[in-house]
Amino acid sequence: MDLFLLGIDGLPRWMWQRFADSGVMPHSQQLLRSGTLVPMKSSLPEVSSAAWASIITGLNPGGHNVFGFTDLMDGSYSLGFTSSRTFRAKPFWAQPDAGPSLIINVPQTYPAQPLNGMLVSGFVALDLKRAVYPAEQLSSLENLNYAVDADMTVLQQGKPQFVQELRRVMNARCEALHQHWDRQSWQQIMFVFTGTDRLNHYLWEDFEDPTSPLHQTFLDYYHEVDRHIGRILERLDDRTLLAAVSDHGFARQRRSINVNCLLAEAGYLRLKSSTRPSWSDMLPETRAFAMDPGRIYLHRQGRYPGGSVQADEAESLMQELERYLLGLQVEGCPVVSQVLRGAEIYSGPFAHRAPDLVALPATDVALSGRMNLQELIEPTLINGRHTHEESTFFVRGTQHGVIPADMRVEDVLQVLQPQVSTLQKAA
Amino acid sequence: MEFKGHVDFRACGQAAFRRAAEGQLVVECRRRPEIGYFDPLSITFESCSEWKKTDCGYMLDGMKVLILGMDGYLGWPLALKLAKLGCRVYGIDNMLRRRLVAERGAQSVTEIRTMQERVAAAKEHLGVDIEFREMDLLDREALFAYIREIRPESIVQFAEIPSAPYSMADVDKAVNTIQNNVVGTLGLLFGVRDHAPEASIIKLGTMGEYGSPLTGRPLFEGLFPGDAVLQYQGQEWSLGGELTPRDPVSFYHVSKVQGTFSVYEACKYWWLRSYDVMQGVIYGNWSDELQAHPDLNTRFDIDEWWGTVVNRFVAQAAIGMPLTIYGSGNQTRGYITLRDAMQCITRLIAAPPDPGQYDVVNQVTDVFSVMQIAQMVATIGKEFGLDVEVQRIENPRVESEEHPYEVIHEKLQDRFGFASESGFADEVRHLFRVMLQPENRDRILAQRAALFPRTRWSGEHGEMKVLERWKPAA
Repeated sequence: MDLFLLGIDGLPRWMWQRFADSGVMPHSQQLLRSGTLVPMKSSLPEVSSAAWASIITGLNPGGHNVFGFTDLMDGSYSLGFTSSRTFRAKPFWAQPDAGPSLIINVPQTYPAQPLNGMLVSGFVALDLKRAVYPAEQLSSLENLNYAVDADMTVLQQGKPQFVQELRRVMNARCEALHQHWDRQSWQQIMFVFTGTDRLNHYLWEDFEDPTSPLHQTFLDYYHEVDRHIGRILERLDDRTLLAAVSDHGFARQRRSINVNCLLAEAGYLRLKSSTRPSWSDMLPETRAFAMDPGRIYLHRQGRYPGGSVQADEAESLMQELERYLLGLQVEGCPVVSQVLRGAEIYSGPFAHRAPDLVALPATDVALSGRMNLQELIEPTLINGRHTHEESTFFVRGTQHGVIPADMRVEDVLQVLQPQVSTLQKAA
Repeated sequence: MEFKGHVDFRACGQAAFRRAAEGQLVVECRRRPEIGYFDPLSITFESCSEWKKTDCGYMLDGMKVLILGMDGYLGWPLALKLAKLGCRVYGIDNMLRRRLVAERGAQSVTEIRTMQERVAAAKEHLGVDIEFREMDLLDREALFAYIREIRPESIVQFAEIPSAPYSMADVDKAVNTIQNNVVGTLGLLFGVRDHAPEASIIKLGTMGEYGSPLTGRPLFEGLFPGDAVLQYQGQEWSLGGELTPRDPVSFYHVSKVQGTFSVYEACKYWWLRSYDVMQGVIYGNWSDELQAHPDLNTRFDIDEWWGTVVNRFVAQAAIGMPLTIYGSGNQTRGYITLRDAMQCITRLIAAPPDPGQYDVVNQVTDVFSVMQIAQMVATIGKEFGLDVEVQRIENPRVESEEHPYEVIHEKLQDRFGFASESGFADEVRHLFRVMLQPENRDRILAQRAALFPRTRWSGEHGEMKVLERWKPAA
């Protein structure tokens, strides 16, 4: 086998190092000693769908068309959910020279598209039947009680039950990995742990508070992840290039702030009254609106049916919005740490679909872009949030491409498979 | 009425609903799977390229509609109308109606072409493609294969024997009616379940399914309204949403009631979707598309078995035969013109029900007694120089001749935007012009004997006695 790419969703570089050093993740300790671990920058915005799409294609969202979990369909206010059907670039396993690949639980690959090998989609996947290619492998997964995602409703029963559910899903997934690994020889395998992201979102406060009764539960979960990593390591020999990545970092979240409320307060966003407000309820007077997490779009004429922002007004409006967003405070704390220009950060055939601005949240803040403007600070059980900085990149050994000083998610393929990446750029 | 706002993706027929994490519903478009998954409430008719604005509201572009019984009085004009609106129209018929009318010694007053000639004429004069296959609804193997092949988005069930007196004439005809209508519809439902479960079913029923309750209870649209209450022995029960009572008035009507229950159950068991159309007595032969060329004529029957009362009265008047009223003539029914009925059906096709939804519409524009109709036809006949006579005869049917009749018919107007485009007087004037053309008048005269009833509900034989004859004053 040439490549084993392990994904650990939402695992910060520093946390992996810390858990390895402290003995929570002993197999990882050994692993990290055998290669290079560096912090990596996530995609912009720092959401899993966009970041994983960049990791597996080597492109930024302007190249693969995944800017978030949702997007408005061109020329309309219809809210679409990104999927493998709107994902417009080929992942590394779909390159013409790719040998047999086993791809399990990579986000943003639903519904499963045909490939040389086998694929089981990761979140967001709606129906296991369509998450599996080839279809004849479905029954083997059903026999394992394989679930495409944890049942989030278990949270209502309590966090311990929720962690138990995450374990159940992880164990079935790992069983599936080994079962299908044994089935034939693979040129490359990619496998992603995604329970880690769920755990971080809901139990971050317990991780940060050593007196929390669930602190140990949090550590135990990572210990179990490490046990699975150990089982994978046992099976790999030195001829396989082994790399491990995460899609974004993590940090504490104290409040989730709806950017659209802030835009509405300042008069940039105007909605007609609706029982279930949506982007289609925007009035033509709207100058700008947001989508999750901090994507900000000018309501441009020609881009949206009721758009009213003229091309020559855009620059001054963007400057105005940058000033407004950076100066904002909620409950005495800043909301936005940085505002980036879409035109400067995206490149590729889909760059014209990009947000005009991307706002990154200030400390302790998560940004959202809901159209329900009832609450500026949204009630949520979530207490951990993604960070753009400090996602994880690890590669074992020295037989790999150059690791850039400012490593980003779209550089992963370049480092692991310089030849694939070169091919892609030529295409 | 203009439909605006969100495409109801449950009704769109194109949507597969999926529940994503945290209660978010998403849909995918069957027509354009490449665009992926959407929030159903964020899609408007204006923004969806699959919907097109027509005179009958927003309609799925190139909608595939299968008309069962395409050769009939209603099937053929509907095929033309839908094709003209841009639907892809498919149809089957076993040509039974043509045989049964001929067996009765009757014929269509307006000459009609073979289906092959009609399809060619539709291409020539209207520029539309209609696909027709001769097929029996009871040949389930062929029917299911055809449904699998075309994957219709809407299926219109017109393939039923539509005559009350025919179903009462003798045991063979009663059994034939039940067999064709009841078994045909039942088989169809299994075919839809297995091969096109997302298609909407437009099932033609009849106002006669309700009967005419002597209590005066309004004839609601199939289901009791939400605030209907039954009071009994000092207690109250809500009837909201329950099927209203059916009281069919012939074995033909029994077959329609059975169809209603079959469709209702299929929607419940298998999440099929259907509108059951309680159609009033239909009359007329005018539609924009039919007028394009005589080769496009739909059939026009006037005899005791296959004609309806208004059409028969005009034909009788045209040949100087007294208009035959059964019994007192105070029997009151709902009526609708062919043209309006076609608009209604088209609007129902355009806005299909939700999966699992069974709904009923009363497709009626006017309520008249038979006596009123005779009076109006006689009056209009005078405009054509006809001195029309009316006669009351013994009633061959078993029915109430004096009864209250209150029809609720709101859904088509309020929910589907139906607006009547034709009235009684204009439609009857048009009919007189057609019936009085010499070749048509000859075809009426040739079947004169078939215009007088012979079929008694009681099973007895013998001529109906004439009770009274008069010339109505203008």
